[in-house]
Amino acid sequence: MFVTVALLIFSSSSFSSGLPCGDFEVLVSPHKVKAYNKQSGVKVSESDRKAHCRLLYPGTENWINSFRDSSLIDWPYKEVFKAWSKLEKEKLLSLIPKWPENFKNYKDIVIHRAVKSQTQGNFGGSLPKANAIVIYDGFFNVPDPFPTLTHELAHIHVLKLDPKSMESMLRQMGWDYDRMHKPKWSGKRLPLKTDSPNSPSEDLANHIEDYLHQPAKLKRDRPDIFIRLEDLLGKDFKLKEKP
Amino acid sequence: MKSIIKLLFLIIFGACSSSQISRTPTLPGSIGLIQNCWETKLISCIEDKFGKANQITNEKLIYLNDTGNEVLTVYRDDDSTKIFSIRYWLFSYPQIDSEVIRKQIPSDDWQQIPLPERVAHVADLALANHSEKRGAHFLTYKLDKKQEVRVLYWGGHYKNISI
Repeated sequence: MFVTVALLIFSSSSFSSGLPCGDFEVLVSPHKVKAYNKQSGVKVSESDRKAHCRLLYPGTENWINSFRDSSLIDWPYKEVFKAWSKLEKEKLLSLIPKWPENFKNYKDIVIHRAVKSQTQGNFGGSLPKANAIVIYDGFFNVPDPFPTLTHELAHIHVLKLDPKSMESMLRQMGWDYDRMHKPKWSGKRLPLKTDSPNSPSEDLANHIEDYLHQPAKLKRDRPDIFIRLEDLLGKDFKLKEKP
Repeated sequence: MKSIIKLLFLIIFGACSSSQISRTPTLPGSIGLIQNCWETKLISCIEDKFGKANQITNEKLIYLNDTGNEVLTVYRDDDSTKIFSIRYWLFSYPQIDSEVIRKQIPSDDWQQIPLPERVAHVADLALANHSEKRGAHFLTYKLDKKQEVRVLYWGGHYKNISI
């Protein structure tokens, strides 16, 4: 008798306090799922779905715990780091489901928050071998910060790609490699962006950014590079319209 | 019996033809062989060890692997028999880290030299690993736990390397 009463109290108190959903999860109340046929033809019978927590932004499970309020150790620039606000975290998480799978599925990325970059007009930074991204105040003041986030992850991603394929593509983009092994901007092609000639890594990150965010323009202006990027990154490397 | 004769024929034919064409370097032993050739500075040394290159120009000799990818590039003084610099791609061999290379190219003067950052918003923390005595260098990153090496170089200058 005592056990039954205790169980009733426990279940009633846990129900009233709700499930322990995280900051970026929503509670889905118990509900009945009607019987239906899947597209594959499999029949799903009617069932009762228990209360559960669901991600506010599906596919962000690898990113929810990425945010760091501390300084980024080894960051070589004298910049001031700060804590994240919940709204800022949510802004970033809302973008991630739109990424192609291999970007979205990155694990162990850490994202630090700093006030201002030493470089004017710069809203993001990265420390690739630490899998670290830095986001500055300016990121939240531009109409579309998504390309900046893509650009910073691209700096991490290029280190995982075959350097031979990248070098071959870089030659096509306008880089020369001589027998001294030094990459030089040849000037044979117009740079994609003003900072593209700064380094091959910067040029590649710029191209990956445009490949995702301005594919039609990149395909029109640089069809040869577009095809190379398609080979390097895969045909499914596209933003999702409906994440 | 016929099949045994066929097999013998194939083995003998294969052995003969492989002495004529490229024997693209394989790891890890080839690092030491390339080092020996670098010290002679003779293109003929490379050709003795690895056969005829798959692609030859006035500037360089290129050895390709079975899938047609560049493995070894030997730059020469214009159209001469002397080696100017060498580049050996190790990306396909993640087991070849900085320790393996230092063992294959032993020297008491290996040093790590931090390279300046090239772009203000990205911090590579790249380190040039350089042996003046052996003329070899490669790039690692301070924060890379694996100390992976993607390309091994001889000649040129360690400050130039970017991969």
